[in-house]
Amino acid sequence: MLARYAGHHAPNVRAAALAAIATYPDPAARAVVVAGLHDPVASVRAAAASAAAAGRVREAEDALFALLAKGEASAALALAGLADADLSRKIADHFGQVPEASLAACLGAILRRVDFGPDTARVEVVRALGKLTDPSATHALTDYIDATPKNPPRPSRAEAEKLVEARVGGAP
Amino acid sequence: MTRTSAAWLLAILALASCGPKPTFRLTTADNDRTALTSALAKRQVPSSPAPVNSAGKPRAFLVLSGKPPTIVAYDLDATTPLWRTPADLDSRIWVGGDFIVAREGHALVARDQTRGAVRWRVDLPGDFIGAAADRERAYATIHDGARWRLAAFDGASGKELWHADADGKLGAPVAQDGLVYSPYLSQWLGLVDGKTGEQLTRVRAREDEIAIVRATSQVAYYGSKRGLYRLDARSASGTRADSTFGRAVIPAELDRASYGRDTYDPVQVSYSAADRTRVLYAAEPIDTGAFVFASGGYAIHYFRYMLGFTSAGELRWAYSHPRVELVASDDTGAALVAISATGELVALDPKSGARLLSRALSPGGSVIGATFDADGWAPDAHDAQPAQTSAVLSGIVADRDARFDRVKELALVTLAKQPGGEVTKVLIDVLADPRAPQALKDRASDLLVVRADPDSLPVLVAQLAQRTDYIAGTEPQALPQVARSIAGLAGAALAPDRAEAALTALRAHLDAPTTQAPDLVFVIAAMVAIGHGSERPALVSHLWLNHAADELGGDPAWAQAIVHALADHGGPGEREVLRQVAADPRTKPPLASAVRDALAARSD
Repeated sequence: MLARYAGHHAPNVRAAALAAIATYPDPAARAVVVAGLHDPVASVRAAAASAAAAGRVREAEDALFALLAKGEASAALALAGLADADLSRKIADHFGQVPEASLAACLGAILRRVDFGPDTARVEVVRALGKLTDPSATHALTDYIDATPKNPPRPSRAEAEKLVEARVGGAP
Repeated sequence: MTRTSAAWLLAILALASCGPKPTFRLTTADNDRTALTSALAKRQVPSSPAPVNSAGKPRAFLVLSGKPPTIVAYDLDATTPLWRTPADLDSRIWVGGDFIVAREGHALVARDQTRGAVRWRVDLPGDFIGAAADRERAYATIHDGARWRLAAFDGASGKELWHADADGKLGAPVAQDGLVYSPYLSQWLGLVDGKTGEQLTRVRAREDEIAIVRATSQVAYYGSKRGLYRLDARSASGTRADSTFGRAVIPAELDRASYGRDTYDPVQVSYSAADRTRVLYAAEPIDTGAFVFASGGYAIHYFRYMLGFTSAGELRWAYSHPRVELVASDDTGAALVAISATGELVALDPKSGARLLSRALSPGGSVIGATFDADGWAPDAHDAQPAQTSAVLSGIVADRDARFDRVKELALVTLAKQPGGEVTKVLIDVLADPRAPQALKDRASDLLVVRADPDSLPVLVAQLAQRTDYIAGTEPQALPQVARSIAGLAGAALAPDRAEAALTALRAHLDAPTTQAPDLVFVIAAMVAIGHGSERPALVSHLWLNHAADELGGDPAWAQAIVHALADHGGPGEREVLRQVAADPRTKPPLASAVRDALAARSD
């Protein structure tokens, strides 16, 4: 029934159905979530992206990357939500293929996740952010430094500090 | 009448009778069968169609653009030019026995046909109306002040042999084997003895103007855009019914095509766009009845295209010249010959459209016009290429040249008469092409809807695979037309697997939130048409999903479509669903009303 409502003519009904269907482990439900990412209405796509992250719908990765390339913020957040160490590397590899602001938003959101790790993976994410010239990348690094306690010392935080210092060091 | 006015009239008549009477005048007798038969017998008609030139060789005289233009003469059986020469041309070229003639500057200039050298030059005062030539003489018509004059010149020396004046407008002359045809006041065709200048007789077509005159080595034709007469003894009747009269069925899309040069049009004294829109024809000799087209039909040269038609007007073949226009064409009786702007000589079989010849003459410039002297000629057809009519028509439809939009419509309509998925694909491609002209799309839409071709179902299903996808950036193309085309298959014997695939594809659009209500009406109708009841569960589900939705539930057309599908094509179970829907307080009023009306109209 939820799947049927995910095809309703009213976008708000579709979005609500996708939110509700998110955690169903059924493959048909996951297919509905993936299909929602192709919806022409942005709010529905955003609902599908959230559902994909919430339901950890790995089948949605390709569609989410396609949306990330189009600069969709919801896709950035969803990918960040789905990311493990391997996926975060894959995301970082999209440098040059997707808008830097979107990539920075995605990588920054990964760093904000307390369950993401190990720290070596965080270091890689920080370095990936360090390659981006968009100001939002600096903001993401700064936010990470601010949100991470100094102690115990973390190599990822230290790496972020180094990168931020290098960027703002020349500033008056 | 008063005595004074009678005196004035007598005085005017007396003045009018002074001086020589013009050859062409209003009061001459016309349509005298005996005189006409006698005049036509004066022609020295060859026993078989042959070029005018004394060598009897098929020739073409090309004019290349430039300042001055260049004439290039070709023997059509050879591949190299006979000669080339610059010439200050101010008209088309006419071919005589051993000379050609044209207006150059303000003079009529004859050139040696084998070398291109100027043979003689005669100054022509006044406006040049046109010229003509036969084996021995050149003829020219001029308008000077209030006088029109047809004059004859010796082909060898240029000496004026005679002239004949007219008190009214003369058209351009046409010569044939010792006779000169001279149109007069758009109403008469004077038959003048080329040797003496005597008007032997004249023909008047009572139902048509005479503006077009065309002569081959054996036959002459006259008429207008409205129809064509073969000049023979029956022409003396002056009526269509008792003359050898006929007309080609010229499709409205090719309405610029004419049977020949308008002898009164000063523009057509030179090569012009009118030479690119010609009906090409030959007539069978007959003693009774109407004009009979040789080879069972005719062709129309229309810019880049050559289209062959049966006498009834059915298109039977098509040729499209690549990239550039055909600037001149002729029906030799044995072949249709044409020359392109880049100098390719093309010859087609009049009946089949087979390409008998395609040869690059490489004239060394852009061809702006040409005169053929090739009556009866056809190239050796040992490597003839059959006409690729379907492919040509498809190519015409896809042509981006906006000048040919109406020709595209003709091609599309003709193509659509053929069954099969390939043609259906062409129709769909037109609908899906954002650059296709709207009129063409409208035609394609109409043709697709009425197509009812079961063999096209896989093509239609393939088209339905195109869906709204934000990531892929796609939208359905021609969904309503495709759905209507499928609906047109109601009652047709369809392979079960094909029908199943079509239903699945239609259901995808039925369930798609992006399918708009007007399109859903056609999707529902298509599902009913081929579903034989298997579509009902999907339609019931669709109804329940949307009965309370603002967009669909409130749409009367959608409501009528879904209710009709379930009430009239469904069973008791579907009608029970309708009752429940009508009773549901959330159901939108237009839908509830449609359900109640439908159920009330049924006796069960």
